Amino acid sequence: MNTITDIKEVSELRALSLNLFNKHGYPTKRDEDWKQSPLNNFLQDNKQLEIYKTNNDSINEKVFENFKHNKIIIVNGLVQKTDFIGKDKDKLIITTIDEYYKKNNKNLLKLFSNKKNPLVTANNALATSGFYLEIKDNLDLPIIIYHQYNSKVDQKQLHQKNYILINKNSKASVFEKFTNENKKTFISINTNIDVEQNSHIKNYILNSNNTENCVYRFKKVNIAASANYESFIFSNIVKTIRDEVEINLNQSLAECYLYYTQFLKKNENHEIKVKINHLAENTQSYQFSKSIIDGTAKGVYQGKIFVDQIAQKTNGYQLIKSVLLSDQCTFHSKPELEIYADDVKCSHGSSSTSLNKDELFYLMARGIPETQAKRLIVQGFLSEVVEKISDENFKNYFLKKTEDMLS
Amino acid sequence: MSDNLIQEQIKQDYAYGFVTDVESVRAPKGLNKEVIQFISKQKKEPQWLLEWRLKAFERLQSMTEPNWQKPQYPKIDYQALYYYSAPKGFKEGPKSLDEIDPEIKKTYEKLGIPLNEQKRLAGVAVDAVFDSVSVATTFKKKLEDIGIIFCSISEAVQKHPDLVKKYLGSVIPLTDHYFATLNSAVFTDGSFVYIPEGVRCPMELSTYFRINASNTGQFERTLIIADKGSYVSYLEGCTAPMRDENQLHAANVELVALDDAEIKYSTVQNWYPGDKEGKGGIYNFVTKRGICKGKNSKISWTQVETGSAITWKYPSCILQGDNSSGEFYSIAITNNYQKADTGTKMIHLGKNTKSRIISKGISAGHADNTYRGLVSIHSKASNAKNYTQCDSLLVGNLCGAHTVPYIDNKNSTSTTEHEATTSKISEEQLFYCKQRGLNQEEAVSLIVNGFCKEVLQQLPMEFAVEAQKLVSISLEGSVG
Repeated sequence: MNTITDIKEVSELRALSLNLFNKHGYPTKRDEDWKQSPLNNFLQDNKQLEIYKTNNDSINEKVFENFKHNKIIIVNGLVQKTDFIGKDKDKLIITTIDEYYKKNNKNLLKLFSNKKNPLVTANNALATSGFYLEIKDNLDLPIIIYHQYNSKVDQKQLHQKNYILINKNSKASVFEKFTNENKKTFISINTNIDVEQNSHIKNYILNSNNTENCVYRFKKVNIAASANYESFIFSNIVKTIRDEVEINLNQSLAECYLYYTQFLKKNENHEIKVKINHLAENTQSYQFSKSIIDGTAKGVYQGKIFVDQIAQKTNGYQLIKSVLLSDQCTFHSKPELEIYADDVKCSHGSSSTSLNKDELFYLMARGIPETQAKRLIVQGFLSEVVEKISDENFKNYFLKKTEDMLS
Repeated sequence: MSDNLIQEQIKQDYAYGFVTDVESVRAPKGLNKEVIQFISKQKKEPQWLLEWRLKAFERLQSMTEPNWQKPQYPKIDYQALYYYSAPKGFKEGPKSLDEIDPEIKKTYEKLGIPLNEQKRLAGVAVDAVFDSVSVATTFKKKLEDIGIIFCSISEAVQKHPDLVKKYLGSVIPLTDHYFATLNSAVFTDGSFVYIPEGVRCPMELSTYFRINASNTGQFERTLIIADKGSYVSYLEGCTAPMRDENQLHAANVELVALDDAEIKYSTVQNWYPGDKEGKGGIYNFVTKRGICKGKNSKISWTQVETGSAITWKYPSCILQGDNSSGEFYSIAITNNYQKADTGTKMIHLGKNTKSRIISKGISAGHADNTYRGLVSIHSKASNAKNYTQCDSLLVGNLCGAHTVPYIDNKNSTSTTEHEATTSKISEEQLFYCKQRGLNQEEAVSLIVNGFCKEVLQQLPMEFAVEAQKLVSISLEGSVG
């Protein structure tokens, strides 16, 4: 087991965070940011979950992808195995987060800086595992991080704190594949990502939690000059998830692109919260989300673009679309703008509708049965986002996933 | 635009900032049971209304002011306000226009209100509210002939208690929120309109509000009922003198539209916005809500908000009847240190309900302008449709423009669409206009009026001219 308690500064920061969390408690629908959050009910019902402390847990190799890639396998929050190919070996550093704390205690304050978000303060206080990943150069192959959570975490809560640093002039594709096999579990993952000057990171995420659990993922991304962050989150089978990201575009020419597709069925809940802070001139952000909602599922999208007074020439774009398939599903969206600079172009659009009847008619008139016609329309609808992915290999991978998911 | 010209224009003064020297009768300072009883007694109200007020007051004790809004303001001392102020000698209310205090008449003349029927603008019936009481209602006779009731709410309480009792608080319940409850406890006057079945009101009805006395809050209450198949267009305008302290204006407006009825409610709000440093000005915390109770009914809100230190209001529509529709058109202009947090709520309950929201926000100087809106489609509102568009224009880099829409869709056959943009006046447009011989001012005015056109054209003729002028005045000076 990895404890971080032996570092004095860390235990002090943890105590401080715990205090903050105790003062606020779990979020409720009275908190503006958590109004529609599907996590509230789960957390209120399961306040007393025991905290899981990670051991050497076994790896599930069935989920490995069969193309050539660098592997990082994380079981229940702890790095269990790594496998880097060729020269990429020397371009990476991976350790546990406490190893990192030991070496770099100057950076600690930044990692523990969030004081407002109750679940992040809980994570700061209670994290028992996590990793530190540093990318020092252009990687030849993508990294796949396999996040596996097995039945050992049943009816427990697990807090994990990660830090990813992309050094100057580096490039990497990081694919995070989540598999969950546990029940009544609360998993909170807090990741800080620093993208330094002129670096590019592509961060793709596949959610599939085929169990009764609840996941909260919070990312804080700092982007430096001429750097670029692209993220795509593909949600297929989820129970209750909140994906939250806060992005600071700290220097000029920083850019971020966020793409989401979700297909929610039965009683699945998926919430996305995005906050983008434009803090320097000539920065650009782009959000594009599409959801298909069926059954009694609930989709939530809260997106906010903040433009500081000095962030002139900002481009901010946000488009949220959803299609509701059943009578009992719901979709809530809150596309927010907060702008203090005048020379900006910011826009947002949000729509929610039923399946387009004209399109359905067109296909059916050409002899395609209704179910297949619907599938085609849904596939086309979601693919529009997937097509935006700049990494060709992953674009094809996710297009295939979309097709498989629907058939 | 050259800096000098901008500065010059920004200095545009508030034209309605004079104080009228009228003696007034006031309730004792402060908010307590006795004051409420005093107001009720002054107005010779029936027992049920007094009890209703006291119930609201009791409820108020356990409530706190909302604090989620964008514009923050210093704490209001509710005990330091006068809750009732009436021009002296006004116990009975004037029977004809000749009885009105000449000073008040002069005030309204300065404001351009056609109190004098001979000099009226054609076809506008006016109810004027001075501080807290209604001073005159013109055209009463003509309206009475076709069964329309247009009077002050105090008069309606006396003459049509059944109607008032039935509808008062039916749209904005006593317990709604802090300022609505405060209003329910201490409201002093306002307009009452009832349009009988099948009647199309032949003229625009209008109210002009003015806060004159210092340290006074204005709490008026307006209730408009459009019976089956009727139509009414109602206009509201407001001004206040320039004073250093902030004055509170917390009105409640309730609209009820029954089957096939249509209500069009237009506001040109030009309360005193405070001086260039943001000192003084009106806190305009108003609750406006309409219910489309019957089938095929329609409520349309149009507002031009140019005044007030803080504007905080959300004229809303509850679309209960099947096929009913709600509209909201808004221009909010903030300059200097003004703040606006305005928008609407469209609650779709009935089938085939439609709503349309067009909001234009313009901020200049150090101002903050927020659009906040809710579109909620409930699970039984099949085939509901909503379209929302909110555009913001920023003038200068010290102001802010924000958009906070909430969109909840619980019905799969319904459609919601929302779009918003934020930008500044483009150099190309300015250049184009100037090249064709317009000066900077005219060019800006043209562009801004074009930006607001969709909303301006919703206003009735009588107001459109005034509003267009207001838009130009409020903006010309600050565009660069």
